[in-house]
Amino acid sequence: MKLYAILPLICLALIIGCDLSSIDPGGGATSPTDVSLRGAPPETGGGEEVEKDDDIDLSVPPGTLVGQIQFDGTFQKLPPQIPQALIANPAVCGKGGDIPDESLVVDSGTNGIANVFVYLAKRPKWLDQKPEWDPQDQPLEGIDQLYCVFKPHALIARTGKFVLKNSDAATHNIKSGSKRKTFNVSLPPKAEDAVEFDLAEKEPFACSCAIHAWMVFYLLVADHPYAAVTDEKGMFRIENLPAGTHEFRVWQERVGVIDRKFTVTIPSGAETELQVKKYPGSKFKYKP
Amino acid sequence: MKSQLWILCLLSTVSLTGCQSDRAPSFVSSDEIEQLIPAAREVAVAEVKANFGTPSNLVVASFLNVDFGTYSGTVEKVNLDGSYRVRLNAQSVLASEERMAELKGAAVTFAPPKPEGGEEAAADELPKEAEAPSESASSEELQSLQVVSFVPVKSQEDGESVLGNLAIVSGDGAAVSVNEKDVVTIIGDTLQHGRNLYLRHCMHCHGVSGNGAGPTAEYFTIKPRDYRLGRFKFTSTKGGVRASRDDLYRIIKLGIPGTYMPSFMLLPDSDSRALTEYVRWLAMRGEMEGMYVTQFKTDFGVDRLEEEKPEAVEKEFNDEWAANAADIREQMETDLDLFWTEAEDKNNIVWPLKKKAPDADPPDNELIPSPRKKATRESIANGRRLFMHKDVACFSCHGETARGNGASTETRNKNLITKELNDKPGLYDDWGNLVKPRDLTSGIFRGGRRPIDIYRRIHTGIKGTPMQAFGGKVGKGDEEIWDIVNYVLSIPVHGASPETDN
Repeated sequence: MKLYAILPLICLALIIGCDLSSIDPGGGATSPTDVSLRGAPPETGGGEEVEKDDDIDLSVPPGTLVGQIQFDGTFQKLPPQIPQALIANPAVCGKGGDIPDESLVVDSGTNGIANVFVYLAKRPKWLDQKPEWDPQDQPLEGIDQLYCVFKPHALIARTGKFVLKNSDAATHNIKSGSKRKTFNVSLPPKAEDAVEFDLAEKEPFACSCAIHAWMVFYLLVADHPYAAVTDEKGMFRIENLPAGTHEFRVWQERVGVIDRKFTVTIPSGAETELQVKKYPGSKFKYKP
Repeated sequence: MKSQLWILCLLSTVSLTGCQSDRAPSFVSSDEIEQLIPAAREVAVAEVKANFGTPSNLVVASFLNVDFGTYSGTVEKVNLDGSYRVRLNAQSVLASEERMAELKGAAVTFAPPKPEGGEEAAADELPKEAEAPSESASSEELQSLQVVSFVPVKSQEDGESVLGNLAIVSGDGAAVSVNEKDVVTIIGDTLQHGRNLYLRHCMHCHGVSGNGAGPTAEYFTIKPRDYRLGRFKFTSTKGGVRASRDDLYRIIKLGIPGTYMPSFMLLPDSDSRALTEYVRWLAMRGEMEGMYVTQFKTDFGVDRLEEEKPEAVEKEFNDEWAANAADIREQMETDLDLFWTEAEDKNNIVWPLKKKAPDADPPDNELIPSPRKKATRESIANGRRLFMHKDVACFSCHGETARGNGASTETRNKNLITKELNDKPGLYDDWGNLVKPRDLTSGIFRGGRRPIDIYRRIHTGIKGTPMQAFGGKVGKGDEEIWDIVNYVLSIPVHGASPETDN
């Protein structure tokens, strides 16, 4: 019984003993090492320097990569995101049809996958020696919106000006999902605007319309010309690649990077044979 | 009796575990960093620490656009007790004597006097990169000299410059060679002061690391800002540009009406300025961490360990990092500097402009200032027309009655990162919080209630949220934004109905 009597006391002692009131940055008085100037950068692990681009030959004429990304297995078309009957504004959206699910589009004849990005992860160093392989006066491709669907669904932008268009009779907006370049602009019917990309991105990112929740497109901002998006047959073509071995990245919106190293050897002055890459449905979180 | 003893035992264990003696705050890494393989995670943490330190050992990295608080002057005399008599330049004299007395722990550098001619020019400049110590420098052993004490004495001669005795200590124990007439620079006072204030006033909501997850944050329905994206909602800067110092200062001074963010009007201006610098600095810290996650995530994500040998992946990472570390660091330093420097550029502030005479023949499209329109009945009516117009579509989120209940608040959207449908219908911000469009009838405007505040919200949108930029798109030009401003300001008084006469 006596114990019960002293229990409150113990509790009290506990509470007082714990000084929860103050949080001090330096433990009492400011410690002598309160502010330091940045020193030398930390050591960079024990790795050896790896020379890549070993077999790149800039002295011979460049070649061209031609390839196709294929779906391995049987593919059934994804059900529409919004069936025609449920479209709230059918006069503008859907053009008398469904709003398709474009997250995985496979050509029924060739099994080619559309809207897949194939690109070099970063601007190759040798490109500075060959400015003629990187013409700056190419026509600008922008994004358009038609029947409440972004056209195209996936595209490459170069650093610089990027045109945003709205060909619809409804107001849209385009909100960037990039961390490096944020924008969220309203686009009234038939309006056109532009944003400026100063910095290249490491991966494609999603842009969306907040007014029409299903609308999304994917954009890769590159600072070099070695990036392509597959067409509806899964085909892509990258020109002006110097002879030698190159490692491309393959990216698809459902999962992100599906292949970190798609290695191709480019012949001098010619096109490669058709480089076919097949990926099973499991790579795309696809269940028939 | 036995059971009572047990209770006692239990209590004592509780007391032992519950009482932590080490309560020094620390920066925590983001959850995102868990997506990286351990080796990459270590590098990311070490790099961030090397550039920002810890709350009790702040690091000054001169590439950052932060006013760390720099005072410079000259050494007048080496005192017998090893301290130095220094005279600080008039322009770097402290805001108050209290701050001066607090001056300890800041970093110090000494440099031989510059040759005659350009001596004063570099007075307020940070010294170039700290000299790298000769041996291997881990982030723990940063080279530095620190102020142990500074006792200021008012100068009798000019009444401006501050004389004082400066005692220093060498962090790495190296001998210090100081001569009379040397230029002395004391760095980091503002950052220190900001840190102390932040831990007192801000940390419990915004968290020590500025991640918006302080101890009280979980009880709030409106979440405190997580600074780590470098994104702030209520700014005067153009779209895609970060917040300026003045924007953050204003929020600290005035608070955010309608939220848990109070006004800190009672703090002296110099304190609010120091807090602003510290918050910017914390945002940069979070951004750098995020940059490293983005940098490594694609190639060195944990998902690779499911299929491949960890040692092989780690070896690949180490090789890759050894080959590219210098480039990656340089890129991040350039980016961070660019992001926060452009926010201070006066040309990046949104001011109301209009075309001089677009209807004239020939049209004169020169942009001239567009002062606020008078809130006439016509202007308000036109504002309402635009609010309800399908080309502007304010109503789709804010609702026809402006109560913040438009159709978008009932739509169930997909999360673009996870590709899953959101749990609840409605609009989400970049931090993953469900956000409500403002109820415009309440008369509470979070970003400020001045007409220019509302103009900027409409022109540039609210960063990180679904509120988009209407600048350049409204009607015939940005002049009509004033009509919407007039309408929005009239709603709390007259309501959202067209019959404002009643």
